[in-house]
Amino acid sequence: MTDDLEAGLREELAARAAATTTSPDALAHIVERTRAMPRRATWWRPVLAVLAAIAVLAVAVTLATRDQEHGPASPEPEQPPYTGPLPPVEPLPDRAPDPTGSVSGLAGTGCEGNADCGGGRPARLDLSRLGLPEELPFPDGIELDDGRRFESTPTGGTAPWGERGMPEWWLVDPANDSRLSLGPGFLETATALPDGRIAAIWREIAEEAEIELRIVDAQARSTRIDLPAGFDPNEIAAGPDGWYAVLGTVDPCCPLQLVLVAPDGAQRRMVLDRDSQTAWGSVRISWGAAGLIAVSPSIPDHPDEGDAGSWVTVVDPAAGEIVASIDGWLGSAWSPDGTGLLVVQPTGPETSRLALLWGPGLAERTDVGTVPAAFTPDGWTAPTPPPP
Amino acid sequence: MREVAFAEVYERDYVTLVRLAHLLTGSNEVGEDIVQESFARVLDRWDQLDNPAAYLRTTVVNRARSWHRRRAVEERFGRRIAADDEIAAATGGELWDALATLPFRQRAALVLRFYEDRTTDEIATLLGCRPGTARSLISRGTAALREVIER
Repeated sequence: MTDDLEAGLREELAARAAATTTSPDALAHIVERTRAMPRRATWWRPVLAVLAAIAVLAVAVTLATRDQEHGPASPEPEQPPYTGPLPPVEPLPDRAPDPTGSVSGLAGTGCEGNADCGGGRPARLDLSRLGLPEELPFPDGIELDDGRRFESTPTGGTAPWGERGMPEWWLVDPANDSRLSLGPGFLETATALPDGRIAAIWREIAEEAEIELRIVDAQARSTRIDLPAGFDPNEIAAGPDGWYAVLGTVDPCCPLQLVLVAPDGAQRRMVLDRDSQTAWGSVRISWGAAGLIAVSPSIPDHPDEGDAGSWVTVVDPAAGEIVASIDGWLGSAWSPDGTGLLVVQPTGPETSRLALLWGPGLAERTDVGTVPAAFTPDGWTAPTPPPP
Repeated sequence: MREVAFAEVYERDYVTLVRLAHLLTGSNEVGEDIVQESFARVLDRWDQLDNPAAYLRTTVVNRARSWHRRRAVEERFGRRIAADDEIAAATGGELWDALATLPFRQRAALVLRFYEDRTTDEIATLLGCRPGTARSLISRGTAALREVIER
């Protein structure tokens, strides 16, 4: 059936494409549209700088009044309130962390300089030298922070998609020289928890598409964690004390939701102030060492769309509150100590402005510099200490 | 020189991109409008672009996504955009109708995979997601199509 479906879909798409018609006056329309576009000039750049300064001031005012505007995120009414202990959040110090080390992220660096033409590829940026981010290969499997990794067997090479079946997954632990089977399925993403378990988003395509959140132990035995009805998880982040957070939606059109899962599986759900439709790529989530959770799109929106797809929402899981909601910036890379968040502001097709958000409520911002790429940071590694 | 280069890109890519936009939006008319606007923007900034053809393709995909986003917002607030009538009139194929029910990212992943024969890494790059997510989008899209057809 799947093979028939794939063949049918190929035929349908090819037939629809072949039936596509184009206007004989298309070129004239394009020229006309180009002439109608507002002319770009350079004389207003100083004006733009003044406007940008006003915008920065407006953001500062917005941050200063954010508590009044956002307040507690609304829990889902059908969920019984979670009354157990909450994951800890440390007060943020009144100083910015040092912008040292390297950050991982997605960069649009594959298009001869036009960063916005290539979407996002894995990349790493050295904060001590803000040059072009080093492009990295897509990983074959899923690498965990503790050295373990998930590998999948080949899924049929160039065979039709429907003939490939689901890949078989293996948990590989180089430290113990072990390779344990998880069975067939689609492992989308996984995160190592501090206690050695792994939280994984797992999909199976059977009679109906099924999705699970699984907890995998060191022996590759997995336990299914039931999520709220209809919840479609996209990302996971490990938190302190065995907690983890799952980001997803109930409906593709609807606000993003955050499910905080306690070590015993108890859950607390928060509805965020962002709609999944506002992000072009996927939305990343990161739980900082100081206890705050950052949520932000993985790549900036197209410059023609303005700032619509650039935002950061920061959640205090203990208070159940959104503590910062910032437009025009994006990124989810917490400093190694969790006291600062590295964000970027797309400033053109080829440039991103980096800044650190820090201080109580992340209300302070310090410029870090610019990089010649569309780069969105999502992980921050401390500099390696010199050998003794 | 600029006009010659632009004419070459137009001759080579215009029809191909209208077809892609048609498949991404479900509407021939909307697709051509998106491509014309994209060409106009590229022509306007031609001298600043190192790779106008690649820029064009991503602009078209992004504008198709934006169109879906506006459409979703307008539907949520009870309004319909005019192109819906045109899309409804153009339907007829079972798979085509089923494709229209998918979220844009699943639809885009299927079109990029089964029409453009792009690899999962290329799809992941375009959609800003992990290759595993791109594979999953394709599989979930095909599973959703099957479910709609068998319903």
